[in-house]
Amino acid sequence: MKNVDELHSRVSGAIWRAEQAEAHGPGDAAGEWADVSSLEETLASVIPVSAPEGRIARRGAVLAALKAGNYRRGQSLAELYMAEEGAPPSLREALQEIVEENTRATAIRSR
Amino acid sequence: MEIQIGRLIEMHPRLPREVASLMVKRAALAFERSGHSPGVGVAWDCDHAPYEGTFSWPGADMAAIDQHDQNQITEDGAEAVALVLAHRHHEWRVLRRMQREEHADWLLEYHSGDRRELVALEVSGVARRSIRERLSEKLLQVSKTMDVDQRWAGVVGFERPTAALRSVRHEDHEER
Repeated sequence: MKNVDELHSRVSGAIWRAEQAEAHGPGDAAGEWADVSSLEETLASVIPVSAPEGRIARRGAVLAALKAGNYRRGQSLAELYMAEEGAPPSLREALQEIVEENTRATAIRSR
Repeated sequence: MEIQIGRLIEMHPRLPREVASLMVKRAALAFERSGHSPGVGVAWDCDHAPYEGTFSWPGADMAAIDQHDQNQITEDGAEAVALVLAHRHHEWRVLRRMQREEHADWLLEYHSGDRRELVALEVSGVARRSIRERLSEKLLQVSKTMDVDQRWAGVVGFERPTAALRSVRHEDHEER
């Protein structure tokens, strides 16, 4: 549990730094969100999908990858987690929605 | 009841030290920016139960206030206050920060015997005016958080020091 506690602490610090960087401008935080995605992915690898914190970490890994501008990584993690044994429908729906929302937002920005 | 905001880090040991330290510093700036001093009298409520007491904090370096964004002083200061109140009233401890798409700022936990519950807490600060309207907005927001046992909103007002911590009731937000 100490390792999980430490990871939770590290992801809190990383999200905090990303939000602070974002306050200076959305383009300034891509590197920080990439760090968040990596830590969330590590948390997801050690907390099962049956635990609420595991599902939060899985959504977090995908969300942060997309906020870092790494669509391929976000899509790939979403597919991995949606295919995971034991993933509840609510998680699958949430991951699908995260990716679709990002696709819509990207299309609007590129018009 | 005396609320010591500087005790944030010991109440929430999973908060990174640099984050807790900055939050406390910004809480101090937010109160002193509004003309208050440590030991100020405050009335607040926790799920409709009224409390009165004092809020104290390590003295702020007002000469450094321009190094901080004004909105971040309000928001981060409110988070420090809300997390201290959450621990004082419920013994909740921070598990982790949430990304904004989760509709809450913090995931907290508490143990009652063998039972462990997860609490989502969304926090906001109000530099001026009443906190009532913001509290309604934040309750609606946090009602959408998934995978938790309880959903709470906390709003802190700095002009006339006050705070409220409220839980989302099922009957309030049946659309969740």
